[in-house]
Amino acid sequence: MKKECIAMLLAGGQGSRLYALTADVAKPNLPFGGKYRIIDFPLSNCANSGIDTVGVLTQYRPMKLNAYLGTGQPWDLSADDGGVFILPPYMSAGEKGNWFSGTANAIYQNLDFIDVRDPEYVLILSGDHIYKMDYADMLREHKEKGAACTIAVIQVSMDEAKRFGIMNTGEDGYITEFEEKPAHPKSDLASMGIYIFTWKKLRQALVEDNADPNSQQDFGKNIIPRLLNQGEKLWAYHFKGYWRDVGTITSLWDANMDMLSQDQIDLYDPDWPIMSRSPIRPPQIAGPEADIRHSIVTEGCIVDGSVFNSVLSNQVTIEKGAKVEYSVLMPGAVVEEGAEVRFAILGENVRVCKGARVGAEPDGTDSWGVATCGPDVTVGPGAVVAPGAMLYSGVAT
Amino acid sequence: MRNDLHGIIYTLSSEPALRELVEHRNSASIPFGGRYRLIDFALSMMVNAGIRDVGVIMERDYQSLLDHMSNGADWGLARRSGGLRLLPPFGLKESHSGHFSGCMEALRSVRSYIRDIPQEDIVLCAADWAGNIDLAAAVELHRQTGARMTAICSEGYGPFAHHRLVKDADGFARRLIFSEGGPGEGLFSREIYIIKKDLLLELMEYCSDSIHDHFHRDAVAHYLSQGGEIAVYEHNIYARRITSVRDYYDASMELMQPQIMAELFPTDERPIRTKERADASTYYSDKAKVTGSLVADGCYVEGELDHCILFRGVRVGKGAKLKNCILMQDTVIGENAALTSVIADKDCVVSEGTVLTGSDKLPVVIPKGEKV
Repeated sequence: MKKECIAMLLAGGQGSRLYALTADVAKPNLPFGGKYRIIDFPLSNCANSGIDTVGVLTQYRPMKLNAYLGTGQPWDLSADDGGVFILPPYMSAGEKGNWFSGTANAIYQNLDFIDVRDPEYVLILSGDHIYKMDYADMLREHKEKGAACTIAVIQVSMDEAKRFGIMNTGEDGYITEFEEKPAHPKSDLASMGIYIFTWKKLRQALVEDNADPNSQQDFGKNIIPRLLNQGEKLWAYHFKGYWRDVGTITSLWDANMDMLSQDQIDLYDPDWPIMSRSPIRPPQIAGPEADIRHSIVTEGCIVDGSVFNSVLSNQVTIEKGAKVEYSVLMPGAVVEEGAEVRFAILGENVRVCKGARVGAEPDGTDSWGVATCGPDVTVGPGAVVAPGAMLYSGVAT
Repeated sequence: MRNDLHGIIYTLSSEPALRELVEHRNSASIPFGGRYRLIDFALSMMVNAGIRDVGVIMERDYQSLLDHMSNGADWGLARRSGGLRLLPPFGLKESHSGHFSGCMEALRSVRSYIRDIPQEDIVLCAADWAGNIDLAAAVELHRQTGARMTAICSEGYGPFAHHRLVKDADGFARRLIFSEGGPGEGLFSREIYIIKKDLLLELMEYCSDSIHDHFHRDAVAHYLSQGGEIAVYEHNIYARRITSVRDYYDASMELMQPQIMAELFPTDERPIRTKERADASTYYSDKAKVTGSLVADGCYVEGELDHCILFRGVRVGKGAKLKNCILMQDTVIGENAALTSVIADKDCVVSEGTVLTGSDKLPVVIPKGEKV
């Protein structure tokens, strides 16, 4: 049962800034980039990095996510001595059960799960980032540097730095200070929310942190500062490559658009496949009137209209004469004859009826934004959904 | 609850007219319809009718079939009890070639397997056809009529069908006609039978020597001559056998007809399962043009496609113009190539600027892994 390194994937977040899109699913389960769900990226990275045991910590609306993960077989994570384990909050004898109160608390509540596997190292991941990364390389550096904790960091602009957790490092490359969303950042190294801990050190820090009534039991706010205060070595692992947080409508839309260019992230690289659980569907059909350019289209789609600069998940239907531009269409979305969808995100099974219009091109005004239709919304015939709108329920004409 | 049905799929020596398509494989594993192998249709039919135990009698060239089926997990057949059983062709005592000329010969090679089948009814079919047959409905008829043998039949069944059953007023057939194609009396057998295990063993007993290798000519004819009756389940939605390159090409081009697509792949029932791969979605560049085509995942299209079928992982370079082409898995078409009526097998490479023109009657076939 002993493992050198196991992964704990934090997948309990609500993704509240995605509003209608995550009203009834957890953010990691959100469709992304055509074939994928967001969680496919960290899971595939684990499989490709040789990590075969992944605990997935769920909390918010886990039903669909649990069904999606199943036994972990699509990610080659269903071996007898490893696998994907769904870890929800639970009750214990004589105690009240508790929700995970913070990221560190989620791990604290699952000490048993980790202890049984007795790993040297634990990799902490979150389920809401799009990137390809070899965790084995990060682990190698962690061991080389003799660190208690290694944090993956990526260079951002000084302006962006205000939105991230920023790592300040000394000349030797070790981390000297952590600042959450600093008003005046001293460094441009943003934490990617990916940590490797030497398990003994993390275990001790979690136990101590749990005893502290003032702690928010969060990795960034509590555990990292605690280790720094104790004089532990914290190493910054510099990641160069594509990495995006998809926590907002704009960033989700942007990252989907990034999938259209291979120079951002190569999804066609056979050496680092991103794997997913796909519904059983026939190939996509391009009808006689189809016009598809600079777009991603997935199996089960039927396209007979025009699709430009867009991302289509499986089973999307674009009828004759319909126009879809700069948009993200999640599984089962239908755009009927003559309807137009521009700069929009359509959730699962959204139907845009004949002649309706959703979203519009940017017009330079502050009120402009990506139009979003939540899952199962119907936009009635001829209805107009304004740019930047967020629809939770359908609109008639 | 154990389903009281057992499936047996047999693969016979491939028709020579399939030429390059069966150079490295048996007809059961010919890629078809953008992401499938022919055997997927027989297997999915069985799984969709609730069958959980399927034996596949493999013909000699079975490497590609083995690779495709693995442990059967993609069809839900990787099971601790029962599930998929792959049966290699060397179970006969005499030094056998590994080629089967008929179904009864194939069955003879797995006699002990059949004897040990725990279920009462066996579904028996070949693997060289594409279709989406509602086997559950046929099983229901089989049970209702109490027949020992039920045949699935239809009015048409591609150009190479030649067994017809003549149905009497009571719904049972007592007469078998051998005739190739064309209109005539009776319904074409789709060569899918539900048969009582004890009856199958009786017929195997009768066909125990090498002059009785064929299912219809020998086994069915004998059964009927002894006063046997066959319940007929009529099923007229799309299905066809594929027995030549020309036929393969025609059947593929037919898929562009929405009616046929809808019959082969109904939206929410009877999915056709196949081996899963880790592919991204398909990308079309800003210079791409695609009309009337069927495209699987993992393709990267920068050229023009008109009436084409692309299997998973195909790449089409800039300026390439493809019309009426079938490109199998991971084939790469170079920039500015112009292909008409070409079937490119798996892993082919067509270099920049190549021009290849076949016709509907005589499509050009590029064999597996070739560089042109």
